[in-house]
Amino acid sequence: MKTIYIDGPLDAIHLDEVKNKIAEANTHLGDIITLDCTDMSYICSSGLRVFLQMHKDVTSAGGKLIIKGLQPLVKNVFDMTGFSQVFNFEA
Amino acid sequence: MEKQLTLVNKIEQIPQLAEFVEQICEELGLDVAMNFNLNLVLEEAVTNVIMYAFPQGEEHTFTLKAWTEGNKLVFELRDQGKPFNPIESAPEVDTTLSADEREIGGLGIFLIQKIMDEVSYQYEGQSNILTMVKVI
Repeated sequence: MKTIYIDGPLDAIHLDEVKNKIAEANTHLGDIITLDCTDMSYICSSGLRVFLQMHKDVTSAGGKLIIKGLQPLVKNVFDMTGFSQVFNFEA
Repeated sequence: MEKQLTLVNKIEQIPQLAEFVEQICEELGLDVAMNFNLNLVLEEAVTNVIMYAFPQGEEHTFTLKAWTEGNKLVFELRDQGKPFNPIESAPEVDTTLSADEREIGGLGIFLIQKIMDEVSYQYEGQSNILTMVKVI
């Protein structure tokens, strides 16, 4: 079980920073990995793509990705794109 | 209300966009949810221009105009990059598919169309013009 903490806006500028953070976390894809998004104030479509790719990688390796603590306006972006049905969420 | 922002095709310009949207929302008394969604729409549209409209390594400017027409808030994004119709070019997004079936692309224009009430594209006088309207 591993938690990766993501804060600030996940916009086009911060995309690489977040990608690096995920890579540096050195998680084993077969594990349960939690993305703690309590302090993530914004997400753009490129951010969603990073999350989707990670979900695919983790799931195909037999692990589980959990997205934790999404703020309501950010959650709405997941809802609009249908990603609410794709991911596992935790309050 | 009428405002204009001139941007350069560099991703570092994105924070300027957030400020621009915030000013408009403040002026028009729009709430944080509307501010968030408009910011998302404009970031998606502007990022597309920054990433794809011009040859790599070249610096170009493009403009974003905003104005109100009655109860409509209109944004017009205009660039002199290569002709590109983002509406026609977007792959169809099926939001009911599972993670494995979901494609990685096409989400930006999908969100723009989902949030805005009217989205149209025209190529005129060597300019790509993307017009996005929100009823407020």
